This record gives sequence, structure tokens and C-alpha cells, in this order.
Amino acid sequence: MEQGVTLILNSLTLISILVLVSLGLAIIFGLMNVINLAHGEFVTIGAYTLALTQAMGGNYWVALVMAPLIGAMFGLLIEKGMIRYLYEKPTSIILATWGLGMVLQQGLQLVFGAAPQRVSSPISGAVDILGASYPAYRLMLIGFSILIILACYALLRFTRFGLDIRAVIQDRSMASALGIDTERVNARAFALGAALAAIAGVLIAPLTVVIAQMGINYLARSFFVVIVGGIGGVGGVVAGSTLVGGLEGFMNYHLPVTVSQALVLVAAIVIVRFRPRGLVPA
Amino acid sequence: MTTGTPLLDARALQRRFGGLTAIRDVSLTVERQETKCIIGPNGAGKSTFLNLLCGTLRPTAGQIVFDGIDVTGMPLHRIARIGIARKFQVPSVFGRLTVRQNLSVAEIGTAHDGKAPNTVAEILHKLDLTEIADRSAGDLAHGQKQWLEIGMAMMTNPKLLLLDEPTAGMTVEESLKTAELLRTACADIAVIAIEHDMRFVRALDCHTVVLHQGALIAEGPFADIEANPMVRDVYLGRQ
Amino acid sequence: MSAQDQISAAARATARDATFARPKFVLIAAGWLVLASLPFWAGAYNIATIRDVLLFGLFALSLDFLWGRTGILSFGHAAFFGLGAYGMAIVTIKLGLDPASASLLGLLGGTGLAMLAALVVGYFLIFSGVRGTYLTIVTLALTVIAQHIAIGWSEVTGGDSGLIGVPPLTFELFGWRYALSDPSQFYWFVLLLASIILLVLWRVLSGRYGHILTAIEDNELRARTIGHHTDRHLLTVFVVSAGIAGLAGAIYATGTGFVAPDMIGLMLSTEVIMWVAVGGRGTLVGPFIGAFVVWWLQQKISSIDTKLWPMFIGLFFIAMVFLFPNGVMSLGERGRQLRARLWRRA
Ligand SMILES: Nc1ncnc2c1ncn2[C@@H]1O[C@H](COP(=O)(O)OP(=O)(O)OP(=O)(O)O)[C@@H](O)[C@H]1O
Ligand SMILES: [Mg+2]
Repeated sequence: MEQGVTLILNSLTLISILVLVSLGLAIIFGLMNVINLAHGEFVTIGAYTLALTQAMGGNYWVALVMAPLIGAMFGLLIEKGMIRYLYEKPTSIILATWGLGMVLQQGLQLVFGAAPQRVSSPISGAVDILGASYPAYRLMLIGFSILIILACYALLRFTRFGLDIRAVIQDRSMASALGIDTERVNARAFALGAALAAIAGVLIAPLTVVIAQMGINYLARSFFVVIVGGIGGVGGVVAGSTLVGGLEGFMNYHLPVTVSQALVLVAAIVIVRFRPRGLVPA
Repeated sequence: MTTGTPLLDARALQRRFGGLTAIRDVSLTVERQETKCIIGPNGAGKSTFLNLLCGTLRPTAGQIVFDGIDVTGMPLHRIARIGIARKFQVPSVFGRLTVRQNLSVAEIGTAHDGKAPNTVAEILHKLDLTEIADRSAGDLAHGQKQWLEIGMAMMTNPKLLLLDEPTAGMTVEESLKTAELLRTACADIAVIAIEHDMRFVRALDCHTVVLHQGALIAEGPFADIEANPMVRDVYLGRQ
Repeated sequence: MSAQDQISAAARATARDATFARPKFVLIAAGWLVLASLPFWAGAYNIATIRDVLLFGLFALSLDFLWGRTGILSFGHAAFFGLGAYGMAIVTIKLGLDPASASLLGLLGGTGLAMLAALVVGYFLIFSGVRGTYLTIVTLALTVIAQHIAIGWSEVTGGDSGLIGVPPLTFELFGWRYALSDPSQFYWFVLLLASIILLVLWRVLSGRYGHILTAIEDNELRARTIGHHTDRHLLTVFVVSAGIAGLAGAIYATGTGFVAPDMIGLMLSTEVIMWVAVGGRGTLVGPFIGAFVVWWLQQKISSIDTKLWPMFIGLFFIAMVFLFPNGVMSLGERGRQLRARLWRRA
């Protein structure tokens, strides 16, 4: 029982992290068919925001507010300065964003050094849940992710901006014929995706090693999430994260991490064969 | 193989795109070596219908039997290999290859009914492309691309050739030349041609099918179709 | 054959002769002769280095065959190179076979492992209609996970430090055993092998098969409607490409004598893209040139500061997309075209 609860909560933590990182990726991918290989660096930027804020004596919550703003700013900059010129050339976007990711990593390493950054979580201690004692911070993370998922869902469902995004995902030319400024939608969605990843970075940071190359681990997995779940919606991301994170969480318990990751890859590939458009297609 | 039955027998085809029914309950038969024309206003579903026949789209209902074989839902390349060839509405030749290479790529070497397979040299000659054989297909003029595409279709040794607006965007002379090329190059195979150019259809003077809003509204010799007041209303009247 | 056909056939024949007479081919031939004579005038260290660069060139060639001819960019090609290298190392070190059978089995096993991985991944993806960027990210994930496994499964792979003690390639023919431990002979073996693979690919791709692949890249739907089973063609190219990468990796491991996780990881996957891009995608010879040029650059830049190299790669990728999307070598070509166009307009 106790073990089971811990296992489930561990999986939920992993799923929450994956959802946060993948949401932005899925929106960007679904909207612009753009594969942004620098997406992992938005996570890193979020984590470094926390490290820097705390190093300067600020607290966690300040960083949690700052990170999405900084992330959005970076996202906007990249969309305006680079992606915009490459929409017709998906392979070029892959190459360029990959290069950008490397430059960002090296830049961070040059400025902050190669050693892991020190970050601390805002709350410590453990909470008793059904007989299992579980770190409070992780529970907070799970709760926070649920809030963000709901907020994203509401944003896409009920706001004008969300409507525009969904219209563009459905049919870009039709949307632009209806007078939607698709370029602006692109830029804003890109900023939104980056902001979400940066928030994820802050939330993840206390649980992991904060180094310049940390993004890549999340990048590969979140692409699985998007492929498995289907692009363009919150539902797909949640489904994909649940599958990838749940699978990995449960298998980690019995198998070495590497084996479970490899099995997740295999599962993702097999799922694509039978559901090419993902579990929850847009 | 099976004489007596038609070469192509499309039965009650239907195709929906979401809420839109682009083809509703259309049946059509084509005999060996017969030529049929499909006419109809823009958006009538003509291209969609050809897409169903050649397998680029699957019908949401209905059945297609070709030469005694049920080809509904068969993979594209198999449909091509059993003898259905297609010329697209937008000329789609391989721009990075030369004319000759385009034809050679399309040579899949299965001739039907004991005929000798078409060779690149023959087709170049028949379609009057020999002089430009080593030009890059991407650099060809619009008309030449259309002819090359017909040539590519012929290289697959089809029993049935589907032509989507073979004369679209052509000058009058080019259209006449196309009609002539079709007469010589495709004399011994069945052809379904979509056409907007009434002169061309009149010149072909074949069995004509009228599509309107996805449905087949009239069918018969072109002279009858031309005289049909309903067809005049939906289509010819606008010319 | 009509008279006209004969004339155009003759014209094509002269065009082909002209191709061989072009300065480019003279340069390539000269370069090859320089490479072949290397053991006569270079030291053992340089011979070994150039041999490794040649193997990297072969690895780059495998990517070019895929990326250049089908447009599918593999972002994880080092997974296949690494599978070859690890396959060779594990067979020769762990199984305790006699040297000749170990070498042979290592070559087959390494290459086979790479091809098998490509076959499985490729079958599931390509036959489900997955193309383009989707395939690219799956290959990316493949290399990330392959590296994780190489690091994590230390009982088999030696973990972070890898495996040391891969013996030189040893062949046995009719009881006569021969180990390629002499640097010059091993070098020539590699040069010969790379040249043969290059020639075979070039030969195959300049014929109808190459045109079919070009056609598929150009317009896959159209290629299907003229009867090509494009899924199968693409899968074949993917698997063969992985096989060549695996072969290069297996031989590379016998040269260095060890394998390590960076032979299977993301960085090498990135670098091989760079080699192809520098040499010119789709040119087949270019990847070798690219491997040389980049290797030379890496020496120069890393000698200033090793941390500069990844930064340089990053900047290179960005520059490539915006400045020379068809490869560095195409810059000259582009200049010529531009001049020709201006000239024609004038
Ligand atoms: N892939 C598709 N998705 C959604 N709707 C489609 C698709 N293809 C065609 N349609 C719709 O089906 C209808 C029929 O289109 P189709 O292209 O078959 O017409 P057509 O008769 O060939 O017209 P034209 O003379 O302009 O070529 C149109 O309303 C079109 O918008
Ligand atoms: Mg049409």
C-alpha cells in the first residue's frame, strides 16, 4: 500500500513535469508544424532564473513569476529573429533551433560555469498520504501543474486568443481568410510555449541537477509525449504524458532507468504505427 | 482477362470530407478502350472522383472493381501496377529530373494483355518530346509538362488512363495538339478525361458524364448532353 | 532506335566523357592519389588520424545517402555508428572467440545490429506514413536513449569509461591468418573500403534507382501513382544507410581499440550532420571532404579553447540555414550562378 502510493505519486510527479514541458511544444508543433529543438533550453532558462534569483537573495516565488516572463521574452525574440523566416522549411528550423540550443547552452556555461547551480525548494518536509510520507514540494508541483493545465485548457477554450490558435491549427489559410492575424498568433503562441517551459524549469529545478545541458533530457521525452498524445490540444498532451510518464515511472521501479527509457521509445514507435495521429488527435 | 464485364465498374461511390459530401452515390462503368468525359462546374467533385478511382483517396462508401479485381482501398502503387494511370490537375512532373529520366522512372515494366511494354524512346517519339528529352522537367513550359505527364502515365502501361483537365492553361493550338496526341498515343486504352474546354469535349465527341454538387446528374453522348436543358442550366449556360 | 535517338545518345556519351574530364573529377582523383600515397610520406600518428577521418567520412557518406537522396534527416545517426562500434567491441572482448572469428562476427554483428535497429524503427515509422520532421525527432530520441543505455548498462557496455581492448581486424582465409595491425595496411584497407562503397553508391545512384529516389523526395504521392512502393524504397535506404554507419563504427572501434559513450551520442550525431552539410548534401564525395575540413577546423578551434567547439557548431548550424542551405561548397556554385544570371540579364 505504502509503496504503491509512493509509486503513484512518483509517476504523477513525472507526468506533471512532462505535461508542463510538452504543452508549449505541442502548441507550437500543432500550430506552426515547427519542431523547436531549442525548447529544452527554455526549461533550462527557467531553472537558471531560479538559481540566479536565489543567488541574489530573492526567493522562489519571485523566480516563479519572473521565469515565464523571461521565457516568453526569449520565445518572442527567437520567433521574430529566426523562426519566422523559416516557416516553409521545417528541416531548416530543426537545424537552426538545434544550433541555437547549443549556443544557449554554451553561453550559459560560459557565464555561470560548468558546475551545477545551487537551488533550493521553497517548502521542505513531508506530508502523510495514505500511510506513505511524501515530500511536500513534489505534492506542490503536482498541484501546480494541475492548475496550469486547467488554465491552459481555459485559455484555449474560452478566450479569443485560444479561439484564434485553434482556428489556425485547424486550417491556417481559412483562418487568415477570416481575418485572423496568423503571424501574431504564431508569435504569441511561441511566447506562451516558452513561458510554460520556463515555469516547468523553475518547478523541476529543486528536484534535479541544474546544468546548462539539462534541457536535452526533457526535449527528447516531450517529443514522445507529443507524438504519442497527438498534437494541438491539452488532452493529447495529458494523455501522452500519462502514458510516457506513467510507463517510465512504473518501470523505473522494477527496471534500470535506461531499460525503461528504451522501452518507452519502443512503445512510442509502436503506438505511432497503429495511431499515426496520436492518442487524442486534434 | 474477363471480357464481357466492363473494365472499370465503380459502384455507388461516396466520399465525405467532414460534413461535406464531395461525391454522393456516383456509379460509372467504362469499357475497354472506351473514352469518357466528365464535365461539371468548379467544385463539382470531378477531381475527387478521379482520386477515388486511382486510390489517392478512399471512398467512404461504395466499391470499385477494375478488370475483375476489387481495388477499393488497395495501396496506390498496386493500383498503378494493375493498370490505372493518372494525370493530375496540377502538372506534377519530377522537376529535378530530365524528361527522359521522368519517363524512365515511370517505367514499371508490366505490360498487360500480351502487349509489348512501352519504351522510353517510343513514348518520347509519340508525345513529340524527343527534342527536349534531356531538358530538366522543371524548366519545361506548361504545355510540355502536361504532355510529359501524359507520357509518364503511358509508361506505366495502363489499361485505364485518368486525365484531370489535360488542356487546362493551354493555348488553342496546344489543346488541339493534346487531343491529337491522345488520339495517337492512347488509342488502345480506356480513358476518362475531366475537361472544362467544351471545344475539346466536342472534338472528342464521346460518352459524357455530368457531375454537379457531387452527384451524377446526366450521362450520354455529348450531343445529347449539350442539348439537355438541366445541364445547360448548371453548367453550359454559364459559359 | 531512330536516328534522332542515336544522335542524342551520342550527345549524352560525350556529355558523360565531359563529366569525367571536368576539373572536379581531376581534383578528386588527385586527392585520392594523395590519400593513397600517404603511408609513404606521413608518420604513423598521422596515418592513424587520417584513417579515422576517412571512417568519419564513410559515416558521413551513410548519412548523405539518406538525407541527400530521400530528404530524411536523421538526427541520430551516431546511434547506428555507435551500435556498430559497441557491437564490435562486445563481440571481440566479451565472447572470448578466436581473433579471426571474433573480427568477422564483430563486423557482422555490429553492422547487423545497426541495420536491425534501423529496420525496426524504420518499419514502424515509415510504413505508418511518418515522414520528414517526425522521423527526425524519433532518430534524435534514438541517439539520446542509445547513449543512456551505453552509460547505464555498464555490465555490458562498460558504462562511462566504455570498453578497452578491441583487437585489430583479423582475417582468416584458407588457414592463413592476417591481422591488420600494421598502420599502413589498415589505412589502405580503410581507404579501399571507403572508395568501393563510395563508387558503388555513386554508380547505383546515378542510374535509375537514384532517379526513383529523387522522384520520391520530389513528390512521393506522384511516385506512388506510377507504381513505386515508396515505403519500401525509403526503408531500404534507411537500413542500408544504417548498415554503412554501423560498418564504419565497427571498423573505427578496431582502430582506436576502445569504445566510449560519445561514439553513440548526440554530439557525434550533430557533428556528422555538419560534415555532410559542409561537404554538400547529396554529393557523396562531399561528406569525406566535409569530414576533413571540419576535423581540421576542430583542431584549430579546440587548440584555442576546447569549450569553443560546441559554440562554434551551434553558430555554424544557424549560419548554414541562413547563409548556405546547400552546403559550404555550394557557396562557390552560388556565386557562379549569380554571376551567370547577372551576365545573362546584362
Ligand atoms: N482534401 C479535401 N478536404 C476537404 N474538402 C475537399 C478536399 N478535396 C476536395 N474537397 C472539396 O470537395 C469538393 C469537390 O472538389 P473537387 O476538387 O473534386 O472539384 P472539381 O470538380 O475537381 O473542381 P475544379 O473544376 O475546380 O477542379 C469541393 O467543395 C472541395 O472544396
Ligand atoms: Mg478538379
